Amino acid sequence: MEAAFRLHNSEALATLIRVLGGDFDLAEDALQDAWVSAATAWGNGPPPNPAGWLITTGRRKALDRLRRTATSARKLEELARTMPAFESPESEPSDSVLVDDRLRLIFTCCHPALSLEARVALTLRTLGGLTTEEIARAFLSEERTIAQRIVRAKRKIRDAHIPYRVPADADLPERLPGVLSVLYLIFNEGYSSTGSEDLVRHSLCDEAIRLSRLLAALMPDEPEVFGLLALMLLHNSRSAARQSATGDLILMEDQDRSLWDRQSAIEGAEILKGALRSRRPGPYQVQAAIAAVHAEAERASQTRWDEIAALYDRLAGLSPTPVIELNRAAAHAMAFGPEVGLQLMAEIDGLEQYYLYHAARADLLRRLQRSTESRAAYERALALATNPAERRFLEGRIAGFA
Amino acid sequence: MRFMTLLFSDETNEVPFGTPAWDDLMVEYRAFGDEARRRGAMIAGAPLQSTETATTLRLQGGRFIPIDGPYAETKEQLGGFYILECSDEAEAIELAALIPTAKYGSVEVRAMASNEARQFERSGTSYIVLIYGAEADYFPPGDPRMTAGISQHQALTERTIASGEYVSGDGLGPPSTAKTVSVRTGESLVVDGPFAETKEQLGGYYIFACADLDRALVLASEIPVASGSLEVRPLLEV
Repeated sequence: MEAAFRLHNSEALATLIRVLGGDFDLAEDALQDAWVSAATAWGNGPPPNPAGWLITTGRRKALDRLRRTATSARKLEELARTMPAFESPESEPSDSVLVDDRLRLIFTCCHPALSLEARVALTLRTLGGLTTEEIARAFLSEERTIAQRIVRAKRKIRDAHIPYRVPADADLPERLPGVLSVLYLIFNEGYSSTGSEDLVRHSLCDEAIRLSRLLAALMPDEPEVFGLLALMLLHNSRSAARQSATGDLILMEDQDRSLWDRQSAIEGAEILKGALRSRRPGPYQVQAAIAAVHAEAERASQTRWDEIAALYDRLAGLSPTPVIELNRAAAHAMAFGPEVGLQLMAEIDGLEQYYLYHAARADLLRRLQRSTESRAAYERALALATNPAERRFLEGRIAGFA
Repeated sequence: MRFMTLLFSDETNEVPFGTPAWDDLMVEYRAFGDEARRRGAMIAGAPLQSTETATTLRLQGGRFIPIDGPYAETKEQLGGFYILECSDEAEAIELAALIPTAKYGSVEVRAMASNEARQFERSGTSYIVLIYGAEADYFPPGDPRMTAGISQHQALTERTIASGEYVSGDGLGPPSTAKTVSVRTGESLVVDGPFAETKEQLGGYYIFACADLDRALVLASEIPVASGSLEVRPLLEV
């Protein structure tokens, strides 16, 4: 039953929200009622079309619920008018309608008028089927906070009339990046967690990959969706090698590459290749290409840094942010020497308070044997770093000067 | 003279809907409405939905970026407004003190820039767009940029009248001319200046009737402003 839940819950929810006039709460309650019925009705195994069964049953349960509350008479009347068309089995929503419903749900959960935190929580709750408790644990937050965030977001969707709709093609370039950034944020939250932490945090990576696969299946013409999926798979392929037994962070150049998950890296690279064929490059495709170049090197010394530096030049052109400029400088340092990297880093504005900026500078200064400056930069980085594993790493570097 | 009265109160401390206390409060608001109409002062008025439904559009690199939440997090929030036709500021202040909100919150009184605001009827979904800007950005009278701005506003008004989405809209006088009225233990207190001490102040508004928030955000982003922020909030449905 749990496997069936993972598979069909969000599918049925997406359609129920639409047929119930965009009412998230009613759809969720009715779907829950439908699952209760399923526990007995599916005694001999699930029906041939479980999602369709859940939608039909959920719709009936919603009507039951509305009949019980007198105040919703108007709503009941409205629904009764629009619903009979679905009652016969032949008029079950077609596959393309189901696809549209899932896209509606994704775009509504990731609507730009909701806060980023709310978008993440709502996406994991409705599309990922995670409980509020699981989301709270994954984001090191309190269950009450997450629950409130979800309640508020649903209230805003209802009261401010955020439409339950897939954006028009003309609006997609503006709206799709917002959806992708929610999925990438979920992935990164899992990826940045360290060994001593709860496993549920790591499972965020799998959840983000699962949702990206879903989005890629729903939007086969959007290369950036595939770029993001490839990027996640390529990053995720290194996760076993990223930490020591004590939970310390291991830099890519020091990682035991035999621990890398080749299968995942190959799948990521294949998906990226397919995306690049559309010749509509974007920041996720370029980042995935960078990760793919890393994955190709069997030893750190074989890394094609010249290719990576060139890809960072493209990435900086596509999304010129200070953090990308920093990575670009680091790549140029690897390809063309630390002096080149330091020169590029000196030109970056706005990273004074970012520990990785100082850590990266410190590393280049160390390579040039400018010890005093290097140590000062490591100390600046340590003063700004908060993650325990990262702090231990920086402390180790500083101790190396003594 | 037209005056905007802005109703501020703590929305987390509201009288609960449907209780006898709420019914009493509605009787008081209706009494104010009757009094304003008796004097021929009532042009328009509407309650806003809570700030939880608000979306703020901030200018970033010449484009509006939507952000969840109201323009400013304040202890008391804008919860509604009346537009009143009064013979002078003294009458506007006198009427403001009769608004029930003055007893548990504050009412800001501001002369309107013109007589554009008209009586309106609403049905279905409508949104108010609150235009926030710094007083320093107000153009002095006669400045050519002012004339250009006005014609852009007129163009937007005409476009949305044609599409059936325009409900109302106007500019407000400079914030420094505002008065804030509250009534405590039966006594009117009038303070110079706007209610909220934010860097930017309400400078004007539009009300659009449209199907959903996406459309409201599109219409709001067509408002010709070169700086500042816009808050988009649904009006309570009638």
